[in-house]
Amino acid sequence: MKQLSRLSVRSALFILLVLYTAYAIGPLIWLGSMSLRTTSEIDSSHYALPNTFHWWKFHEAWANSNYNNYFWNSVFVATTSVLVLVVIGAMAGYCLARYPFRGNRAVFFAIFSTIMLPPQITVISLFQILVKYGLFDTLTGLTLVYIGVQMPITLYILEGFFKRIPRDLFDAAKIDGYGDFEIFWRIGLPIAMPAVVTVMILNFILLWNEFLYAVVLITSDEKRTLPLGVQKFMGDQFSDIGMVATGAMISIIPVIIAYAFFSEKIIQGMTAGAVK
Amino acid sequence: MASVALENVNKRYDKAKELAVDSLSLEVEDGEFLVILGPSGCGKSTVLRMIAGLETITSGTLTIGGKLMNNVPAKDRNIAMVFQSYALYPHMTVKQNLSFGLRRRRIAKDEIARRVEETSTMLGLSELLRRKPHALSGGQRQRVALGRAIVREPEVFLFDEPLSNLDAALRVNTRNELVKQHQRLGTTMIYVTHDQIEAMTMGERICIINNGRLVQVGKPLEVYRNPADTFVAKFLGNPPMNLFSVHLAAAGEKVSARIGKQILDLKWPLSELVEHVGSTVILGVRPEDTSEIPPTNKGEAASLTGRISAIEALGSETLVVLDIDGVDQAFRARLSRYATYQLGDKIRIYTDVSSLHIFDPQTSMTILDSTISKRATTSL
Amino acid sequence: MSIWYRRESNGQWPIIALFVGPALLGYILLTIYPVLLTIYNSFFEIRPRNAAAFIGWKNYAALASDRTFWLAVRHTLIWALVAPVLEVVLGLLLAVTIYARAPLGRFFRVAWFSPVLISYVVVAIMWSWLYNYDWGLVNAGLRALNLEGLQRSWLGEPGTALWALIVVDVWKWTGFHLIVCLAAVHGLPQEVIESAEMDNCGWLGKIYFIVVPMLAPTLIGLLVLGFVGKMKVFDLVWIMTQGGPLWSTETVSTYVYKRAFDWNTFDLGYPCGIATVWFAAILLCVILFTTVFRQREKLEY
Repeated sequence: MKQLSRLSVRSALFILLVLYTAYAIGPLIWLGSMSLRTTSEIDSSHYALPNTFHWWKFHEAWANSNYNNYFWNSVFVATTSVLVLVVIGAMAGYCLARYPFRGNRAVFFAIFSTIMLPPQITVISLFQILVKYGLFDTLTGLTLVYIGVQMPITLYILEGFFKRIPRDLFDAAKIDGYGDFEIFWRIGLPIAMPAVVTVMILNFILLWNEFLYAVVLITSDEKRTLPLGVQKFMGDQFSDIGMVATGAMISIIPVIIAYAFFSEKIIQGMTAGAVK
Repeated sequence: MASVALENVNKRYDKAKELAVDSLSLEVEDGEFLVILGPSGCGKSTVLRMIAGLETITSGTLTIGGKLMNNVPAKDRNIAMVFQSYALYPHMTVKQNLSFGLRRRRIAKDEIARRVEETSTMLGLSELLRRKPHALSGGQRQRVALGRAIVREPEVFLFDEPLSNLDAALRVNTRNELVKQHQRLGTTMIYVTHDQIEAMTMGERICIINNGRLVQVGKPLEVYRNPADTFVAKFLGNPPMNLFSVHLAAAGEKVSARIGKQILDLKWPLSELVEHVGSTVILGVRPEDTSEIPPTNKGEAASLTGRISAIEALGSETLVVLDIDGVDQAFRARLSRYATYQLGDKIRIYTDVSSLHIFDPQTSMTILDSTISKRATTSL
Repeated sequence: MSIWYRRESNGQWPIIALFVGPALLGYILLTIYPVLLTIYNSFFEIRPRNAAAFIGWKNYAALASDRTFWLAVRHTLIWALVAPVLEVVLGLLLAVTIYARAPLGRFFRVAWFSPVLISYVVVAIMWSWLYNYDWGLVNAGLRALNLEGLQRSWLGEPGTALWALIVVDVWKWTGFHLIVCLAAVHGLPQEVIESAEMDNCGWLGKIYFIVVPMLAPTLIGLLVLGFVGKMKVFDLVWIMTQGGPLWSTETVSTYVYKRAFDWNTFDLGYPCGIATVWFAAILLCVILFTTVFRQREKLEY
C-alpha cells in the first residue's frame, strides 16, 4: 500500500517535471519548427509541425536578408573579444592569485566589483568616447567595449581557479629553472585549461547575445551584429513570421551547438559566481 | 656537488612579529646527508625553502659551494627539491616530468634521453614513462618526484618531508632506497622531517630546530645520548625521556637526588656538581634505560619504587607507567618482555647512573654531559 | 662583503606590471573613466555641436519632479522584487524534485537551463508571438478552456504588460536558479536529510524545515544577485514594448536609453544624471544587503 502511494507520488512528480520541461523548451521547439515553415503555412495553423522542411528559408535569410553579414560581424566581435579577454584575464588572474604584492586584493576587488555596475552608467560615456576617437559605429569599438564589460567575470573565474593550484607546482618549476613568464605559460595555463575553456565559452555566449551596447554603439546596417539584425528584421518584416523565425534560429544555432557539446561547462561557468 | 653554509640567517615573514628562523648558523659538508628535525611549525621547512631560493633571506648569508647565494634566484641555483606533495606536473607524462628541468638548461637532446632512461631504469619507472601522474600510485608518484630530482644531477638535493604521504610499509623501503641513492650519488642532501625515526636511520648528522632556533647538531647517536636540552631529550626517543624535578644534596663525596620521599643515590663526584647542590634540577631518565632486574654491578645502579598505573605488554617488551610518590607526572619504564606485573603492584626499578641526564630548570640546558658521568662511573 | 636583501615583492614589480597591466589598463579606460565621465556629465547640459554648459544640480532637481522617471523606478523595483522571488522559489522546488531522483534528471537539467542561453532578442520575439491576441498560445489556451472572457492583448494593455514581461523573465531565468539550488542541495550532508526522513518529516516539511534553512546563504545570494540583475533590466522591455503602452513598462534603463539616444532632446547630461542616481541606488542596495546579511551570519555562528 505504502509502495503504491509512493509510486503515485513519484509519477505525479514526473508529470510535473514533464510539464515544466514543455514550458521551458516548448517555445524553442515551436520557434524551430516555424523556422522551417513558410509564413502562409504558419498563418493557416500556428502550432503545427512542419510537413515539408523548407531548408531554403535559411539560405534565403542568409543570402538575401543580410544575415550572413550580421553573422560574420557577430563572429568577429565575439571571437576577438573572447581571445583578448582570455589572454589578458588569465595573465591578470594568475598574477593576482600567485603574487602576494601590496594592493593585490584592492586591484582584484576593484575590478570584480564592477560586475554589479548598471550598463547605463558607462554606456553614454562610452558612446561619447568612441565618437571622439572615431570608433563609434565600428566593430573595433564594440569589441573594445565588450572586453571591458566581460573583464570582471573572466578575472573572477580564472583567479579562483589559479588559486586552487597548489603552490608546490610553481615552486617545483622555479627549481627546475623556469622564470615567471615561462611558469605561467608552461605550468599555470595548461593546468588551468578547464577554466580557460569555460571562460571562453561563457564569454562567447554572453557576447553573442549582447544587445544594449550594440544597439547604442552600432548604427549602420552593414556593421550590425546578429541580435541587432534580428531585431531590425523583426521591425521591417513584422508580418513575415516565418522568415523572422528563420533569422532568429540562425542567431541561436551556434549557441545550441556549443551547448550540445559543452553543456556541463556552460552551466558551471554561468553559475560560477552564484555558488558559494 | 657542494657544501652549504648558513650564517646567522634570520627570516621574518611580512607583518609577523616573531622571527620564523632566528640567527641560524649551520654548515653542511660536501656529500653529507643532513637531516633537519623538528616539530611542525618550527621553521625547518622555511630553512629548506631559503636554501632553495623559494623564500627570501631577511638577514644573514647563505653560501652554496662557497658562493654567496642570498640573491641568486631559485632557477639559477643548481639544486633539486622533492616536495611533500611531490608537486608533479599533472598535465605532463612521467617522461615529460623527468625531462622538464633538463630542457630548460639547454642540455643536448640525447643527453636528456640518456639521463631519463638511466634514472627511470634505476627507479623502476621505465614502464610508466607514458603515464600521467593521476594514473600512478602514491609510491610511484614519490619515485617520479625523486627521479625528477636525480636526473637534474644537482649540486644539492633538498627533501621536504618526502615520505609523509606514504603508508608505513612503503616508508621503510623508501628510506632504505634514499640512503642507497645517497651512497651511490655522493651528493649533498638536506632532508627535512618531523619523524625521529627517519632522522635517526637516515641522517649522517641531524640538526634539531625548535621555535626557529637551532638546538643541536650532531651524529644521530651522539644527539640521542647527549641531548643538549630538555626539548631534544623529549623529542628524540620513543616513549620520550622521563623528566622530573629533583632536589640535589651532598652525600659525603657523592651527590644524591631527592624525589618525593625517596633518595636516589647518583654516586657522582660532588666536585662536578657543587654549584647545583642544594637546588632543584631536572633529572632525565630514558624509559629504555630502566629495568626491573637489579644489575650485577650494584655500584653503578640507582633505584626507585613506584606503583604501576598502566601496563602495555607489546610482546617484545613491556611498557609500564608508574606513579611515584612526590612526582606529579607519570614515569614510563621499559621492562623486559618477561615481566609479569599486575596493575597496582608496587615495584622497584633500576637504572645505570651513567645513563641519567641532568638539566638546568631555568635554561633547560644540560648540566652534566656524558663525559662527566662516564668519569663518574669509571671512578667507581 | 656587502649583501643587499630582497624584500618579498621587490624585484617582482616588473613582472606584476606585465601580468596585471593590460587588465588594469582596460579596466581604467573602459570602466573607471566612463563611470567618472558619466557622473561628471550629469552636471552639464550636453547638446551636439554646442559646448557643454555647466548647470550644477539642475538635472537632479528636474529628475526629482520627473513623473516618468518615478514611474520607471516603480516598475523596476516591482520587477526586481517580484521576479527573483518567483524564480528562486520555483527553482528550489524543481531542484528538490530532481534531487528526489526523478528519472532523466540529466536531460531535464540541460533542457531547463537552455532558456538562460537564448538571446533576449529571440526570447522577446518568441514571447511577443505567444502573447499575440489572435493566435498567441496564451489566448488560444484560454479559448480552449472556454475562458474567452479572460483573453486580452497582454502586452497591449497597461494593466497586464508589466506582468506579462515578468513572466517572460521568470521563464528565462528559473533554470539558472534551479541549477544553483541543485548544486547546493547536493552539497547538503546526506545524513541530515536521512534523519529527517526517520523523523517522519513530510516532503514539504523537509523542504521547509531542512533544506531552506540550510541553503539560506545560497538562497539569499541568489535573491541578491537576481535583484541587482533586474535593476538593470533593458533588453526584454526595449524589444517587446519599448516601455509602452502608456509608460506602463518603462524601466529606468529604457528611460535612460530613450532620453539619451531615442528622443530628439539631444541632451546627454540628463540621462547621465539618471544613470548616476540609479548607480548610487544599486550601490546602496548592495552595501545594505551585504552588511545586513553579514551581521545575521555573525549572529548565527
